[in-house]
Amino acid sequence: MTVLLVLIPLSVAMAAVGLGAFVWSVRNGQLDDLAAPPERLFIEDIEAIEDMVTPPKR
Amino acid sequence: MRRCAHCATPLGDAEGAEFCCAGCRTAFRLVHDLGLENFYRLLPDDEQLSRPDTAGDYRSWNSDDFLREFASCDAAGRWSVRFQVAGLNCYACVWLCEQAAAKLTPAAEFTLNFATGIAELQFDGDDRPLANLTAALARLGYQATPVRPGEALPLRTDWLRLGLAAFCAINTMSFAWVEYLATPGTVESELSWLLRGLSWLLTTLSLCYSGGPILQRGWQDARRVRPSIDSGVALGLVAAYGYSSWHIRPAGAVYFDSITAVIALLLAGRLLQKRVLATAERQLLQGTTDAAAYVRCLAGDCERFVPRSTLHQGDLLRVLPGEVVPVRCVCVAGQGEISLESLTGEAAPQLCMPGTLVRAGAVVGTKALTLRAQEDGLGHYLDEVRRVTRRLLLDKGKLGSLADRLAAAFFWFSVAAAAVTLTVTWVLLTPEIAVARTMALLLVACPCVFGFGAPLAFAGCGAHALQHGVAFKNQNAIEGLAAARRALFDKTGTLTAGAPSARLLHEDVAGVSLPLLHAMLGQAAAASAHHVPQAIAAWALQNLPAPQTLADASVTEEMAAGLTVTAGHHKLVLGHPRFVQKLLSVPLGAEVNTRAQVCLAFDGRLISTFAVDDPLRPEAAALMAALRGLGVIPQILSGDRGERAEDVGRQLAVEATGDLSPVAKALAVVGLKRAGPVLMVGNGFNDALAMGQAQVGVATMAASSAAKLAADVTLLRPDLMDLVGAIAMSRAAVQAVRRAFVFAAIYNSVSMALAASGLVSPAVAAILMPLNSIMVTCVIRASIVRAPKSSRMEAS
Repeated sequence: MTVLLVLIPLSVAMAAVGLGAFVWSVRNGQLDDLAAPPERLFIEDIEAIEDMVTPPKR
Repeated sequence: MRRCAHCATPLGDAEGAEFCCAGCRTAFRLVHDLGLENFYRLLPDDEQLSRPDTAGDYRSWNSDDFLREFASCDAAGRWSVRFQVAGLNCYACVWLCEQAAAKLTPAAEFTLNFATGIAELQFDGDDRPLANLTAALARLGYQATPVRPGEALPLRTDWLRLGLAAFCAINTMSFAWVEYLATPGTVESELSWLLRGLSWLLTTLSLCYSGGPILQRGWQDARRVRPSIDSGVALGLVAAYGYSSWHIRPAGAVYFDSITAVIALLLAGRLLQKRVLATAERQLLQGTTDAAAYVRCLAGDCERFVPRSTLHQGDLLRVLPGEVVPVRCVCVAGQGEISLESLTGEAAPQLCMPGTLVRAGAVVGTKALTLRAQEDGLGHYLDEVRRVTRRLLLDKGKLGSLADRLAAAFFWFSVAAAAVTLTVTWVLLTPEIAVARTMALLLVACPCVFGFGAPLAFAGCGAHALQHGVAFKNQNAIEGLAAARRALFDKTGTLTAGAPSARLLHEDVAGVSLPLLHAMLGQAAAASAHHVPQAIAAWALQNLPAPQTLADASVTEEMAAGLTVTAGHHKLVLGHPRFVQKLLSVPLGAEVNTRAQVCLAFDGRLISTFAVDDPLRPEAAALMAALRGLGVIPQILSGDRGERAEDVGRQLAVEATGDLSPVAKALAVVGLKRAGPVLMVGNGFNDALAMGQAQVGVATMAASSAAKLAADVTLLRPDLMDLVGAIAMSRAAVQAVRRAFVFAAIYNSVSMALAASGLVSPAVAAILMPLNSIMVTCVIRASIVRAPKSSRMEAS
């Protein structure tokens, strides 16, 4: 069971890496706007559509 | 129906018109010139954009003064400015702003946060793209207001606290379960030391950083002998932490997992609440910031329409009836009333005369005032509104304050129970057992439900309501709407379409210059926010020859009565027959029959009378039926003439009263309020007083800013049926909170009794504590989700 004495601190260290990644993402503003990015995903596609010249619907 | 090609405002039947105003034509052309036509395809079908205002001068945004106040500069000489963008409706707007920025200022970096409506522009010191960009955004219909560095920052610290708390909780819980699941005595002492040492470390981290604000607030409140929810939580956490640290050796009782789990859950609930409040605040501010985005600045003899942010201390302003005072001012000319109701809740208007100090946000009553600004316009009005709105948002409702009172009582109760347990077990059993049981009791007595339940229910209700087109200003609004048993409606613009058309009844225009008449009617419509001048001007456009140009014309308006236009030596009086008669000081004669609602007099002579018809909104009848179904009695309070109000009342089969002045309306509300909670739905400046008096004021989408400021609830879509959904949602939320309280009372009493009798071990506490919070969350979630969310669902 002595292996646990190594494995447990190791697991905490790995989780701490995850926490570090979370802290990095928060500091970089990844969680600032949770509303627009999902929409942006689809809009990029629309821009790529060839028929950009079609008249607006209104 | 034909709609404006840019903002989608219905245009009516006017031939050949494609745009509702010059601003929309400019915006449409700008969108085309930049090659961004896709914007109109991205817009949801029912989305109506805010109308752009072509006036506006953002040149000061490039000045050094501006940059010094609002921008920050990094070491590399790159500037960063943040500003609030008003008028963002959906993602298409964000796309349009970002694309426009990319085309206009390719060297600068522009990001727009849809969640907060805050844009950030980074650019090199030499090229100053700010004025160019903000002016373009304004022409597209999005007004920019600068934000000072350090203001309105995103919730990053809260996310970090929550992240650390979750990390600590997950690790500590996994360590604790090793000991809970193992047969007693089989865990080696090195391993036990390691697990407990690590748990202690993580708990200390979590308590100090994540739980820091809770401990601090709890201590402050307890020191002022006004224990709050946080005091109870802090007491439980500190007691459990101290006891666990003391008993850290193997086989001792430790509660590290419970402590970290409670902190993580509390922080999650509070973060959720903050996000909902921020969204609601933005939605509410959207209607109000536009109100004083531009001000009439007097320079010499001419009057310029300038953005508020370019206003300087000492500038002279003219503020018309119904408009909002943009900054703190002192009155220099004019005498009239101002209403501070949207700021202080004080319903009675105050008299304003030269020398009177006027607060920013005050609404000018019946007479135009000339004011001298006492401070710069940069951000000030917005600050004031934001302060007021935030206070209202954070203002706790009755159930919220009930939660506080219960928490205080509960705090003292748990302290007393702990003292009794300690004394009794100390005497009867050993001191060791006494301390163990007392600590367990204090931990399970931690009033998470009080701290968690009510905010969660109201935040959930507020978020759902926002999705379904209703913004609640605060908890009071939700509670009030749930309790309301009588719904009072304004007629014009609320129950009716608000776009009335004028019908000519009688005409005698011999000897009157028609182009001049047309021009003066146009002036009247431009100066007034009332629907009658608009309708008459629309009639003039169709039936009179093209207007001549007017050199100088002045308009004075008396609220809910009529107005006078003076141009040269000509004088035009338009308004209610009584008003016109008063000004003419001659009897109107028999030609004014009872059907006439509006009289028009020119140079002291009555020249025509009009009837103004305003059709009912299509959903009005269904709304009345749905309200009755919810046990709410609808009633109409109108400022229009009695017979017109009664006519509408007959059509909808509801009681209707007409001829009510704004004050009479408010008095009627006060009278009806005695019989039970009432809600007042209105759209105009004349409803603001009554809306302030009712338990809940509801402003329609097209309401004036005065009405929106006075309202507790704002409808974000034109459909009035959303009100029915809002009532159902608010009732569900209040019901959910009541259930959570009953549940909490039973749960905490039982668990405290168990702890006092020594049945709560660390393992049991570890299950009880999070289970408690999770169960309350489920109870509340279930109650809210089951509530009908769509007004259509409710009506069918």
